Amino acid sequence: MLKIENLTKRYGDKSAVNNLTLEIADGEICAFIGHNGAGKTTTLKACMGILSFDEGNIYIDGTSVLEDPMTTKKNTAYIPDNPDLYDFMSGVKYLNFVADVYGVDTDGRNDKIFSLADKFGLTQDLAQPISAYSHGMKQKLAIIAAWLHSPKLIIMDEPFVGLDPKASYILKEMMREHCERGGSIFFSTHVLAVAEKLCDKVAIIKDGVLVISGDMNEVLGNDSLENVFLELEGGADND
Amino acid sequence: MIKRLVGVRLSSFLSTVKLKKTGGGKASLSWPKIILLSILFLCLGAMFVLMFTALAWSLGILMLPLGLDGMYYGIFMLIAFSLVFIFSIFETKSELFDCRDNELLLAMPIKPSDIVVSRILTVLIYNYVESAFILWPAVIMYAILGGSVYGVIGGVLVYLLLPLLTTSLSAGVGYIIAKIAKKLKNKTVLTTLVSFAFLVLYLISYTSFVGNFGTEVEGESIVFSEIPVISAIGSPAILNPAYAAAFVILSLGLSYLAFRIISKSYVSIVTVGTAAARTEFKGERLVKGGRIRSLVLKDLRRFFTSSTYMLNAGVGAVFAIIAGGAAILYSADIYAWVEKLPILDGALAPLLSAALVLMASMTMISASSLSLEGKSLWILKSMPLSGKEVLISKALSHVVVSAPAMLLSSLLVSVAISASPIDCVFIVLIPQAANIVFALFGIILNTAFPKFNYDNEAQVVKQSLAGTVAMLVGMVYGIIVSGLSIALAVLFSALVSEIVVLILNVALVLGLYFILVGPSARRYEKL
Repeated sequence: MLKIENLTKRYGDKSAVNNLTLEIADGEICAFIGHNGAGKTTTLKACMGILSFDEGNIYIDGTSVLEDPMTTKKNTAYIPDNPDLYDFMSGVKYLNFVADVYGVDTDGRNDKIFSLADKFGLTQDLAQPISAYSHGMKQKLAIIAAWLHSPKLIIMDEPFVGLDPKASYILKEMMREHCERGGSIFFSTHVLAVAEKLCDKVAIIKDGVLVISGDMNEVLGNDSLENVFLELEGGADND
Repeated sequence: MIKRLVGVRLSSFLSTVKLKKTGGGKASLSWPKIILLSILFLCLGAMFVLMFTALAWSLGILMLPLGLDGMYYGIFMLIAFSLVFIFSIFETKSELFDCRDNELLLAMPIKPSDIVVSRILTVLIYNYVESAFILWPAVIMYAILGGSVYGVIGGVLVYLLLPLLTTSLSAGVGYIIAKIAKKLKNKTVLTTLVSFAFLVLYLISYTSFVGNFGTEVEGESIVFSEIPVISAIGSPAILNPAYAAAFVILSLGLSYLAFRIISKSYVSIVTVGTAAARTEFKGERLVKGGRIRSLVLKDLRRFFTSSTYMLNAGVGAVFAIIAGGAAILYSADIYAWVEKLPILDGALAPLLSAALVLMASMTMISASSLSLEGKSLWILKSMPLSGKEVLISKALSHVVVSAPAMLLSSLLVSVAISASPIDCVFIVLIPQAANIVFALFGIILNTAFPKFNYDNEAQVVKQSLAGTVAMLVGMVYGIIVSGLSIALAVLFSALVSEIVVLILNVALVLGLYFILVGPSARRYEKL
């Protein structure tokens, strides 16, 4: 579903991401882990085609983000780390706008929006302006918008930040269901326990370089993800 | 602390124009662009300086030999006050009360009064720059034409104090609007209406005053006689002791008063809860719409929910309707005016359609519509939307707001001058074509000079490079079209003038469209 080949992104003289290669198969959930500033957001944005990169290529469902970004974007959804949505719109107007852009039909959008809003307990707030939403409510709205057009690949940057425990549980369920239907998810997180339980695959990035990636069980062996991560980061020694 | 806060405000303002390294390691503005923009701003600055220098010279040679020094300065003080006040009235409110970092600063150990001072000082600096274009030519020309030393010193004093007075008054109006808005549920609509009410009230008072002045100077015998009100206004500039003292006290006193009043209620105004009446979702069925339609509706919703955006970028549409109404009410005066200036006989229709072009140039919705995406830009960028679709939708939003107002204005003007059917067609078509020119030009500029990080919307709508250039170039274009219309009508005929001006506008529409869907769309995709 997602194939990143030798991705390199430089900011001036500094490489934010250096020669990163990663592959996520259909139906897989992959956690992307790394310290602050490691290059996670840069990689995720490059996958979405919203950040240019210097070398390498990224393919989504076999299509290059460089050559045909319109097709890759149709098949993808993105939730950034801070959901800055249109404050001047109401929740429902925003969702309808997203549905219009992705060409979701009338029945499809009504079914999906209201069932997901009910799930997150957001239905009664849909007519409110987004400016009145809390961070968590905006995050829920961004999640509903991402699922709206049934994308093949969902890319999320710290999706659990700001969500209450119930919403986090619902999101995890939705992620699993999405993958059971053949879709894939690539997301960054600092919540290692969630990543360990939820994901089929893990990729750890340090200073722009992918230090390890593979099936969760293979990477962990008999250890916990926290220990593996700290060992790779050198954090345990520092402590 | 105040110095640092002012520095933050100014660096935020200058962030668009200074050469800096962005994340990608590329300069945000390339050197050729900087040189081009410097030339543009120098030309525009020189144009304003020349305009006011010419005015100072023509008034100075008439008035100074007659000892009307006070009246000479009075006229320039009125011009400076009026222009700077109109320019700063809405901006001051945004700068004072609508900045995004209000809560951040209030959470720090900074006195609210320091924040107020820093915000007022920021506007004051802008006002000093704007006033300099009007008052310095007056002072220098006064000195060149042999004015007294007192008059030169007084002129400098006026330059130092008049922006203070203007800033205090605009801060006071901003404070009243913010206080009223605090008590209202539908803040956007009512803030806009209250602000417009202030503006209209001000314009009526000003035009009534200037109208009286104009009537008095029209008669040859009165031209060279003193008009006491204007002379009194200009008296501080010639250091008339009583008037100068009153002016100093008034400027400093009003500034202090504005500072004290605003400081006292600042926290309560800027921390007012955003809670509005809760709107219950009634479960209405959502209907599918087209992509461009949805994009246009989104931008229109942004426009109509922001009083800052509406007041600063959409004022041309309102002025166009007011101008159309005024043309009907004062049609007799228009004819009387044409009778006094026979050169305009037969050129009236082209001149009025050019005047409407000037009105259209005051609408600058598209020039900031991309920048206003701000931190939400990721939404459009992550969607399967081409640069062409996004930019065209933004130009269309501009046209949708401005076109009906321009159409109404054109029809009213046509009725007012009993235009022939052919003239009527051109009075409608020329402003509409110019409207599309401004819409396309605005979004092309905004794509070239976007500003996504801002503290309040006024910084984008009014102070950004794209907004400023769009406004100035629009005005210059309107003036050129007016000159061209009159020249062609006088040299050939009204019909020739109208056809040429329409062709010029249509050609510009086509040229700008190809730039929009080509280089601008590609640039958007790389943002």
